[in-house]
Amino acid sequence: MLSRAGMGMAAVALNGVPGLVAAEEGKGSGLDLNPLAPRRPQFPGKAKAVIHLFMNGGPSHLDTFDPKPELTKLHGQELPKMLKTERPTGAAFKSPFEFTRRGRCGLEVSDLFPQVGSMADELCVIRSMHADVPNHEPSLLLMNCGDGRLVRPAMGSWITYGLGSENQNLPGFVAMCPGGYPIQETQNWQSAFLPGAFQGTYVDTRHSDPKKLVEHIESGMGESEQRRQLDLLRAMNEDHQKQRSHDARLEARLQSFELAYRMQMEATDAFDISREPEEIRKMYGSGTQARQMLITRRLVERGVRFVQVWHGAGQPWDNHDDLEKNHRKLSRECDQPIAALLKDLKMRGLLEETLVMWGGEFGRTPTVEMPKKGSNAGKINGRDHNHYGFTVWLAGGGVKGGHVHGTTDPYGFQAEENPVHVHDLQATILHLLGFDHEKLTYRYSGRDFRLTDVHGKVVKEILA
Amino acid sequence: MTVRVPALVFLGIAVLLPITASGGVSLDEANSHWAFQSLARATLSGKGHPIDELLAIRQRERNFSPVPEASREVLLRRAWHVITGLQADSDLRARALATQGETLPAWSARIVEEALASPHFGERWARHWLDVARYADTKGYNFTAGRLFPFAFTYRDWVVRSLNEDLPYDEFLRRQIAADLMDVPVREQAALGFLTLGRRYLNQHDLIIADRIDVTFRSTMGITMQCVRCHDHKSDPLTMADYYGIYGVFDSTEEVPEGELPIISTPEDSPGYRKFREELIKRANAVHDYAAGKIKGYKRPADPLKFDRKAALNKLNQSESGDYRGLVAKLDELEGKSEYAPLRAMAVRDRPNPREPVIFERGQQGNRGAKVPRAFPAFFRDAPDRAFEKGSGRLELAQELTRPDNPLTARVCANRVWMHVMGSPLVSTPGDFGMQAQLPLQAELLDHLAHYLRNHDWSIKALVRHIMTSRAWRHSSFADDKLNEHDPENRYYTRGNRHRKDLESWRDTTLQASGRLDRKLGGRPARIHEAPFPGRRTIYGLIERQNTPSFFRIFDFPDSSQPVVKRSATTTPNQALYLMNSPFLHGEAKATAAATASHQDEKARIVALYLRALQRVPSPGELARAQRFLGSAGAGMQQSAGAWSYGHGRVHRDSGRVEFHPLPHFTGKVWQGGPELPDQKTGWVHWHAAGGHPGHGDHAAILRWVAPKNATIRVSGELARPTRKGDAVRGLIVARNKILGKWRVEPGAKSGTELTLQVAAGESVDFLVESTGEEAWDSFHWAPVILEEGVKLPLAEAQAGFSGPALERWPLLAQVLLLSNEFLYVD
Repeated sequence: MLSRAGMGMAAVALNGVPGLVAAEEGKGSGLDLNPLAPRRPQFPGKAKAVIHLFMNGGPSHLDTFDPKPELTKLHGQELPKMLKTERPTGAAFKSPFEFTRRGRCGLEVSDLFPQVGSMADELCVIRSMHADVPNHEPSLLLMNCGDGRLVRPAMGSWITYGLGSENQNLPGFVAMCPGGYPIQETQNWQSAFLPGAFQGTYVDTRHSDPKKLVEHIESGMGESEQRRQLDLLRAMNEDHQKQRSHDARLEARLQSFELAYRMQMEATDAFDISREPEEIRKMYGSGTQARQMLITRRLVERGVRFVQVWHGAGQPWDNHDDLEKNHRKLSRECDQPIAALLKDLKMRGLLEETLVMWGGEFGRTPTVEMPKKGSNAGKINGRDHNHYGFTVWLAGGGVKGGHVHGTTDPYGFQAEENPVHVHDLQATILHLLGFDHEKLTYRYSGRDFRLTDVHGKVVKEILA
Repeated sequence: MTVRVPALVFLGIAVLLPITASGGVSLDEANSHWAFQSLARATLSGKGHPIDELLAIRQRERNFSPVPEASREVLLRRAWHVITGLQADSDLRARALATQGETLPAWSARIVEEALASPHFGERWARHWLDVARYADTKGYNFTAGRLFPFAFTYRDWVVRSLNEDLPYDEFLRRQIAADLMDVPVREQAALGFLTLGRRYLNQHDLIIADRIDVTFRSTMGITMQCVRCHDHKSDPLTMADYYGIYGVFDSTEEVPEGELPIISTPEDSPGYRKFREELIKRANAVHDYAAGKIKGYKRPADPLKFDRKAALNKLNQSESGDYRGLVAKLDELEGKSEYAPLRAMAVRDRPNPREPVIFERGQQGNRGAKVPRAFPAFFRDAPDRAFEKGSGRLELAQELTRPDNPLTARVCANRVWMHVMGSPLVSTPGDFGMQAQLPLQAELLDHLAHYLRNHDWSIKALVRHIMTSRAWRHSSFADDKLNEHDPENRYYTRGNRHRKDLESWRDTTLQASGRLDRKLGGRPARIHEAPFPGRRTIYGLIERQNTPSFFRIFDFPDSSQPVVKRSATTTPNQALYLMNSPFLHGEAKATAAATASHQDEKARIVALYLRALQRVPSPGELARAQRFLGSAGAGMQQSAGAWSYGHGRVHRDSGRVEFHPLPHFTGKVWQGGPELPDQKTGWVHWHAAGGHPGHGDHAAILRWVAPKNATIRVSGELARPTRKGDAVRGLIVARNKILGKWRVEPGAKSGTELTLQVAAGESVDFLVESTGEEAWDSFHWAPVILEEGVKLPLAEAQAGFSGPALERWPLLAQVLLLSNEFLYVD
């Protein structure tokens, strides 16, 4: 019934509708027996894998990818237009960074990201993003799970549910964050009511020892010794199965041990960047961001479906104070590694089928944040949260390169032209992978759930 | 279509009460939905068991005939699995299987009765309910306050006890919703944890209530009220007015503040208790000290443990509030964690003045629409114009849910009980009995079971017993090709379903096999997923709602943020990795093997292992296979990559003999003399993958390699002593009682250690590092690589081949049995 190789089980009982499993609370199906078996999408998608570079805390669009000369003019004055922000903000606050036109397309990128800027012709910058509220928790959940308040599966879970994974020896959905968790912690990569197999596997990339990165990957015994043990187990299971040949679950479980055995080698290998040639490691640079970007490429190359890379524990980009100093420090950490990742993917021909997404849970205000006791250091040189308008960029995976979509108002406060809500972005990502976001559903508690709930509109203008 | 008619004057205000409300479906459609009909009474011939008679109706239509009954061994295992989640103890098993002269049905009924009398029934069946009740010990995400619910476990223990005492199911439900309003002992208020233990959603009031509404209706009536928070239901006869009618009930209910939670049992006075009190007051005083320092005119309470947290918080700024909450959390933590703390119920109570609900248009709190009365959903209401009258209306809500003519509550429960006993539900959507739920194939049977439950005083045990005395329950799980082809999913119940153990029964029976199972009932949650892996039953494991440890999730433990009626049952390599490589499984394998160590005879010990793990004796073939495995495993010499061992000792300069003592302790990274370095006996000596450290005097660090075959080998490598402090180390390579190489390496220096030699299979080559003078700073790198002459790939590499303790051969065998499909699947 199931192939011995334990791979290519896409044909197993998916009711003939690949990728669209009308599963009801885990009712016995191919989904149970091999949840990560690769599945075809609803229509041919351009992207096969997604990399989400999460600048958690909210990077300022005004200081990175959305230049606002008007703001410079009005610096220190009251803006003609004020919106309600999370905390009190004051006068217009110009960007302390220079913007330069980069690439053939002439995309304006600030000097925080010169190296990413050198890849401008690959970038599809959406300057008209907007979310619902100016708070981290709901905005993180909205960006990741499509709902700011309720417990819903993460986008990576939805995508691995829809497509399975190309590599059975690695987790299908990996969430990397060095040094601990971001705000909302593991909820950001939860599978909620989807089976646990679709949960993101958390990896703390602070460690450099590959064996520390994946749980229980180390056998602690010699390879041949474990092989002998598994051979005995296999013999026992085969005897047991002989009289129970109609039960596909038994064969699937027997295979799961073989998969695990191979995973021990492959996973250790995938996370071990010391196996990369020197020139590649040099291209990424040194430090934690370089390590996790390089691991990301190694994972995607091996067929991992969804890799989420967080900048760091907590909310590093949340610069209510000292924005200039902190944004500079953070961008220095990740500019070269992100650019290297894009270059490397392109060099290998992987960028075409890998959708890279960069952004935070929201952007930052064009107005300066005012001192408030107990909530900032009162330095009057930072920006507050801004969900009315912010920037996310995409690259590869079927989006237009060197393209800008949408605008914010002249001050960068609010999305103005072609606004793109987070739900729209999610609908577009699913579209690029070959799914109609309204039809990638999971039946749970008497209702068909989907990532975009009752919202979402594919942003056709950015499709290549 | 919704029809709203002005129906009554409610508290002096005219409100709209939808009496024929039907959401997005027509009333006719809703009225004809099978699950909303009153229970039908099946006509029975009275011959045979009613369940078998009712199943036969559908089986005959397809010309299916059921398979024979299973053996007594199989039935015994199945009965204990279903009823207790454990395996029968060996003496009980021996007794049960020794009895003679009874028919199979009579015998089977008796063993079922025995298992039902076990207190482990309550533990097993409580867990089923706790999935539905989205039970967890923590609040979920929050930023400042402590996350632990201090007394969640009193609810969990209440569920276990109520099931063991066979509290009627209707009463079981009523107490969980309204025990505080009922004439029951105070300790029964622990049941209210059902309402209070949901996710806290950062204390967003409307979401906490949404959670309570959801759990209440889904667990009892199998209908979902989630959708009607924002719009009328598209397919079920539910409206926003229904939702906010219930919202009003829970909005008129408040949690009893932590300090005032009803005490349900007090520990006896003891030195431990007095110490606990002392510490408690100390921590409370820390709270008051802080408040007094920040709040002008702060009044210390007479009893330091009784104080108004909210009042203090209102007077503190944001960062001070954080500090204050932190101190209070420390106090609560002691109250919650100390074994001497009085036990409390996580109770609710009615607000002094009930709140009148309004519809929140589109579910937005700020968007207040029409007023609605607190009332039961219109379509399911007893009388069209009845709104709740007493207080919050919570007790009336509980009564409506369990009204004998509420057809859903009994059906939903009967379907769940059937599912847990038989392995698959009659209604394939056990969490949803709404309009989209399909009529089950055996609708008569479902109604029969629901009737049975209601007519037997809502006794869960009676229903379990009723199902388990049918022939259908005794069916073998083996089926012929015809049945497998025509009814692959066994929808006709012509055979037994093979049960797969879930996380709880898998872990608990593993602990049974190893002899480590702790049978204590109830108590504070234990961190079962972490070393030293307490042997408590899995139901007593601490359930963290937010960052649920992967141990739970990889084995399909449900998300505890929402009710789950049927778990997934996935098979993944992550499960296999855990089973192969986790310290927990290794520990269990060792303990299982150790429990059979008294058998001197190898065969007898193998038999004993099989009995512990699989409750049967091995076949002669299996016995021989196990013996072959024991003979070959562990010796290590046949490993193609050779085998390394890690020790200490010395080389006798006169004879060339090496005294080798294996290092006894492995930290996960390092082999050393004991848990702490320096070890009392062996000092600093240790080995890790890349090198190590010598000890003092005769405690040279020794890496031993055993040749897998006759060969000429070249040893390459480099001995380095990186630290510039201290003095030199000396490296030696010894084989066949000869010192073949010797290198002195000064601080900060390194030296190649190459040589070529002949080895015979089984001979060892020792790599020694001695300290010269002081052992301080003597850390070294040395990871030799052994190449066979003329072969490109290395024969062995010290670094790549570095390994922790291999399980000895008996534990390895025990582990295989615990990992087998036979162990995990119950025929």
